[in-house]
Amino acid sequence: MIEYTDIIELINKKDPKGLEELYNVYGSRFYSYSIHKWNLTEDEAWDVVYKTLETLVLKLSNYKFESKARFEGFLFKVLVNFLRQYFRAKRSQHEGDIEFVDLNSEDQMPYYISNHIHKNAFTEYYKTELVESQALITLNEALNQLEKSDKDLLLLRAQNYSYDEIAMLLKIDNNQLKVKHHRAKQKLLNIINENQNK
Amino acid sequence: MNTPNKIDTLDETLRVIFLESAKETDAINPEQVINQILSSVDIVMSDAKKTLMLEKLKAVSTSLSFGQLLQKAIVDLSTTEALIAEKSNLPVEIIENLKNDSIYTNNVPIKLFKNLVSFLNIPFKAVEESVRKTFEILQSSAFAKSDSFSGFSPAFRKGYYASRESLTKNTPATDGKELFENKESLEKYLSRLNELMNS
Repeated sequence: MIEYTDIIELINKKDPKGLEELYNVYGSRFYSYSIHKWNLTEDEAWDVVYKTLETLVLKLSNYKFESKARFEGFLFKVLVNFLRQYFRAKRSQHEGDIEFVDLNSEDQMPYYISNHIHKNAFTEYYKTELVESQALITLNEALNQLEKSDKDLLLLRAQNYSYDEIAMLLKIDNNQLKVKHHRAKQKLLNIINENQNK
Repeated sequence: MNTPNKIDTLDETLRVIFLESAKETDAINPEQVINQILSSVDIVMSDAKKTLMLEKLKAVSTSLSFGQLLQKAIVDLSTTEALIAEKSNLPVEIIENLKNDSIYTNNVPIKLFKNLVSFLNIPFKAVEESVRKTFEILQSSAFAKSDSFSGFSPAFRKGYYASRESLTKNTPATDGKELFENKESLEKYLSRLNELMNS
């Protein structure tokens, strides 16, 4: 695969091959990710990818990326910034049709997430992007108290990754991953409950 | 993800946390996440849309910003910032900022800006295109660092550090939210500049 430094060099030389490689290596995957994992339409995903790559092209003359990790970290941050915009806009647009449910309530879990988070926390976030809801902050703190493997599992599953994909990405056995996911949710809810009782 | 009108509260919270965590360079491991994103292409963009994207990106990458245009003019005319400052009545510091694309061109008093481009003998069309590109560069800079307040990242948090990006010298002086830093203001500025340059 072409190196990120070669892509930058080609773009700086105004060689169209640089843009093509940028699209092939990053843009095409960002497009698929935006649609598959974030439910964007094809047009929305096109916008997100275009704006992400455009931002990079505009910034190239001002930035020096000292490693591939820095370069990809920058791209990732810009991509998620635009994804966040579309995610919030879509949710705001369909706010009246959304019903927030506690799918765990059928699983005889000891604690329900709906005891901790009211839908207003989300509607506020969709409109303002300000995360002032104490419930969201509390949940984030509890998430950071989980083991890394449990945290990764929960975050990936929430982004619509299948158990097969998660097993591959985290290099773990797929065996009983669904059960592990369920237990990770339980652990998270237990931590929230313990933190609140302190 | 769930069906659009029935959303699991916990999963939605996790999605918000993921989106917010990405604002902090040290909160998640971008390398791991980007490897996940780059791992597959399930949905392929149509050739027509891909071509359109590449054409638009090409237009962005090949056009000159006002800073680049100014640098080129300085070389072509074998002149100096000091002489340009004298002829345009602009402070040298502003010329430097314009050269580095670190200020919005429409933040410069229009008559002085007109003096500047007239002295450099740059036609309006070239000025217009370059001013638009500088505007896009500064808007993207403002956006790329637009870490609006997040309850997840208090400044006093242990281990907080300013990222390399936040320390770059070429960040704009303002945060992209001043009165003149919008498209409407830019269009008015360019329209008036066109009148002045053609009067």
